[in-house]
Amino acid sequence: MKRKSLFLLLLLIFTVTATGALVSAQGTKVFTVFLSEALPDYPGSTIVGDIIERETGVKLQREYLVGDLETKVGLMIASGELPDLLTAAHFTSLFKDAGMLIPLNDLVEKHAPNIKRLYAKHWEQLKQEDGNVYWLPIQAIPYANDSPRYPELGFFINKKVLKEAGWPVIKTLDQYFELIENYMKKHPTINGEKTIGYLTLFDSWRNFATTNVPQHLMGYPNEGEFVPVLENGRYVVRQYHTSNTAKAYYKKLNEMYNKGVVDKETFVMNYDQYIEKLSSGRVLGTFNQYWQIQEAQEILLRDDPESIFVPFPVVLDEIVEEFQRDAPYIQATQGMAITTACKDPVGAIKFLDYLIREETQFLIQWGIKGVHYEVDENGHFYRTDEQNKMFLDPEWRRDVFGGPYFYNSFPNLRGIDENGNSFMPDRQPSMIYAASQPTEKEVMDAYGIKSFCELYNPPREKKYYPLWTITIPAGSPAHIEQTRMKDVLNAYVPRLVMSKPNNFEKVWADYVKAISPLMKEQIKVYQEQIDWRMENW
Amino acid sequence: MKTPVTPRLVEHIPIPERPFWKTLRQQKVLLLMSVPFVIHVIIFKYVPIWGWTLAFQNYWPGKSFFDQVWVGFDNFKWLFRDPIFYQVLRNTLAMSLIQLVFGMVSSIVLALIINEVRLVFFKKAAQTISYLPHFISWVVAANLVRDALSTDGGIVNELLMKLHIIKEPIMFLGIPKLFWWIIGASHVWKEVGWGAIIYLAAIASVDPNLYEAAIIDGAGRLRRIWHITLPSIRPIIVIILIMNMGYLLSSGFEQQYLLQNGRVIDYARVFTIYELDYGIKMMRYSFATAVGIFRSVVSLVLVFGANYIAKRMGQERLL
Amino acid sequence: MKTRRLRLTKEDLILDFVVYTTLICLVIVTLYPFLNTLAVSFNDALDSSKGGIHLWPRKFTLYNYRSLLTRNQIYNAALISVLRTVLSTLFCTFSTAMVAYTLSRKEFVLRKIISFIYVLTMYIDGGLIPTYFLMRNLGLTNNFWVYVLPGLVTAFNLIVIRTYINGLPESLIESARVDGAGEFTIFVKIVLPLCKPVLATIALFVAVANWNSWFDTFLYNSSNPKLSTLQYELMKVLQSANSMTGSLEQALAQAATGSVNTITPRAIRATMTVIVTVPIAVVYPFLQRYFVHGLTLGGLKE
Repeated sequence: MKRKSLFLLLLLIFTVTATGALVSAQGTKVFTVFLSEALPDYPGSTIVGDIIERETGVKLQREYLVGDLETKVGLMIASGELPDLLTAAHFTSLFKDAGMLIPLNDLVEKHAPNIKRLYAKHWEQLKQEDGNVYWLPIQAIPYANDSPRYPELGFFINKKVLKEAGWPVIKTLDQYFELIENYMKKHPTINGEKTIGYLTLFDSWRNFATTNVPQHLMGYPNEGEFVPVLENGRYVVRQYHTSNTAKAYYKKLNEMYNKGVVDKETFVMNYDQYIEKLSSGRVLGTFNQYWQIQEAQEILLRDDPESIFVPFPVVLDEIVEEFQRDAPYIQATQGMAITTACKDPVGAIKFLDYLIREETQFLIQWGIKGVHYEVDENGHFYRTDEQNKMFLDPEWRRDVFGGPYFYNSFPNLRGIDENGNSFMPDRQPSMIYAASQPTEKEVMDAYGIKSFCELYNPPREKKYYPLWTITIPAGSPAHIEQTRMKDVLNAYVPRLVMSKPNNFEKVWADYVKAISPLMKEQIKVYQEQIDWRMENW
Repeated sequence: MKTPVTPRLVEHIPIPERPFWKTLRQQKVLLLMSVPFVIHVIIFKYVPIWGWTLAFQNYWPGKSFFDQVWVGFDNFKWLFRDPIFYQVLRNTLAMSLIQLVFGMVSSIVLALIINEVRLVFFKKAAQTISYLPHFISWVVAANLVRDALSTDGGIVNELLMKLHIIKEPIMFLGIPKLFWWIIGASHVWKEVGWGAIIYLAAIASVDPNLYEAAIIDGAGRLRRIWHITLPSIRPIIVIILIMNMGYLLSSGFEQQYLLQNGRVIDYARVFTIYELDYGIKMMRYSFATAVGIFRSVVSLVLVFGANYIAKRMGQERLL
Repeated sequence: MKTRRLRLTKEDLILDFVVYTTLICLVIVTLYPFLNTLAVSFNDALDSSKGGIHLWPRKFTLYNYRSLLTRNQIYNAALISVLRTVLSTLFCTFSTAMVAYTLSRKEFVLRKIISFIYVLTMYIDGGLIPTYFLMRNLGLTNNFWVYVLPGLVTAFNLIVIRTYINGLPESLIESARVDGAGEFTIFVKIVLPLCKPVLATIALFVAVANWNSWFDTFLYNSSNPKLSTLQYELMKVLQSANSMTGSLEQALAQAATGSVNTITPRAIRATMTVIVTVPIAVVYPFLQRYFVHGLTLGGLKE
């Protein structure tokens, strides 16, 4: 009996392992591709995927990232076992350094008219030191840029506060905290629980939501850890972590912490607890990038629409002009590459060329005309309520429709095409206001805007933008310095905010002493790259 | 046959003087039973040790072995000169020791307690339930710990306030000195039941005749635990203690990583986190290997030290 | 069992009191995390993010389970997981016990050196990349057997079993030898049955480690979906919901694509925990009887 079951077991293993080989149907090309994005496996057949497969005769054998990218990349490079195509986020250049990517210049020139046309604006940015292009960035913006419903970042404030104060426009940090303090005094509890005046997120790598703020208070968009400042016609990389603005900001937080406006727990809570508190409706304000609070905002929209968060471009001083919105940019330092393991680079580039052309992009994002979207008399795309509802279910969108399997990691188009249609339906200008929830519309109407981005100045275009897409060479002295600097920020910022007010100056002095020596190498790398970008882009 | 057999500790059977090879040939069955597995372990565990050469290079993946830059002991020098290193060493040792001592003691006590339960159903249920937290990943468990210790309605603060022990909620996770103990306590909570299994198995094999003899002698339950159960499982306790001595530098990662925050970072950073932040995440494989070698060497010193002490004390030992 | 004394002494009463109160407290604090996880797994994902779920779901849903259990591959992966767990448990337990037996023979001349070889492996590690090369050269990448072979005999388990065998009455083995039994026969017929409690323990350790493992799939078999394991598939779903984690660079890149999830990492983690733990809880009682009840050595000795 026991022996028999063991035999069956072995038989089972044998059959399972024997069927492992992949057999491709006749006439179809199979490309293996590694994608540094985490997504469940491709279901095998989707509306979008089937059309693409039929039209190109290309079948993709995808491997999505599971586990950490560092290890995966290290193994791939060390072992030399490569797929035909790959994306590897900020590690893409390591493959190039190892000589594992093939240059795309000639291939694009000869076989990919669409890539050539649509990436034309960015082409110079993609050239590496040797003049070759090795990867296609995931996003190309061939025409004008578009805007989402919410800006990239802001000082968010609870709608209740704004409503009670008569819809004020918030400009400075002092105004922002004054509103919050006043509301707190009047409403010490919300839904029977203690009101939380202000939350700042400080959970491991997400702590940039606290430490990046000084640059925004100076009016800059998200550049990263350093800011290039225009001085005598040249962008000079400057640090802001010990600036006067930073000091004023931490001092304000310190004051508010000691007054009980800033949540006592704010520096020990993790991201889950942060979302928990935000979505309870009793938090009045928080600074963050929108994608970090999106989950809470969605819960509030559904369960407590009067407590949604509204973003404002807050600066330290009224004289500062804010340009906090992102200027259109592409992530030139990473993208999809063809490896030396690819036996048919021409076929691969032709496939990518097919993917990037406008018709395919509209198919991937919008779907099939008449089924997934309609066109009005001006040639503008829109979706009916029913069609919208269909796309609100992310699982349907991913597993049945299939679009997401072709845009997060594959090259795709952003912005607005020549007919005024956005490549992304949720950025379609005519649809932003129309598809907003009533509670969002109430705020927009009160401020006379059609999208929350209109509360902000239009972004200022900078050739190099942004600094954070510069990759510091892995393991270099600058890289080590960066890790050390983050360690210092991690240890000192909570102390700055939580110290007794009369102790603040001392902690500040210690902090400046600790962090100041940890920026030289980074600035050097960034400056070099900024100069290079200004010259070559 | 009713003679009580005491659990055998170290017993010396005189080995007759015989030529080595002859003995070996006589023991060919024992050889066949073990040597294939020795070859197996040499292949799977010892062959990859060539990777230690990475520590003396400036390894870069993708280059061949001979194209790597050799740097001698630079990586080790860097490690020992790093001011954080000593902090990391202190934290790792402190937390590991706390976990080792409290983890083992609590598991042994739990095993003894479970063994004293006479209601079979309750005995089984308690044992099954107590090991369940082991299967809950630290990501989930850390959130529960955070919720319990929160100043914003966490159960621990609420309880202490109700009992009038404290007036205001304490931010437990924000107190650097407390961090090690929170790590220790949450470790015990999560692993006590799982850790007890091995001692339960040892207790299960204690000869019942011993207990009966003790009962006849009029020994109470406590005395039986003290004089029979504990001595019977002492070999396994000693062995596990020795083996765990070698893991004093490998403790944690997830637990510390997920419970730490900027407030307590100076007390929370352990080797595994350090290796990741300053090694793998920067593609500094060589440095990570150097840290690994350092840990191995220290581990071996600790294990053989502990083994030597055990030997001197006449206890069960590893080698 | 044998002599049930009716009169309880004072010591018994106090001890019972201590034992039962301690255990009840322990059961409460250790049962809570699991019940909480269970509640979250049956609760609406977005709603769980608001916190405050304790023992009972607030907005009941089966959606979390549906979205995890309807992934393609998941059943094949579960099959592979079961296979690797069963095979590893059988092979590892048996071979570890066998080597442990030889190491417990005081007269075995290679005893010390073999013990030494194994003990060292607990504390040294060649690292990820060299190990990967080894597996590849042995043809174990994209191969089912990479789940079973490398961990056949592990030092920790070996030492535990050896210690246990050392504690067995020597007389049993001696008498068998006098009867003319060979080493292998003694091992199978006498030592193995006596070792049931420790073998059950080791089997549990091996089984749980195999069942929970996903990193070896990630390292060696990630490009062959047919060899994927349950934990690996669940990790995939978790990570795709978690796509905002990892590093700032990745997160920003992902944020730029504007992907939104309705199923949250928290809900997936809870659901995963339940899916993975339930099979263990089902199998567990079969092993448990060996070390909780215990088998009477005396009975076997006669």
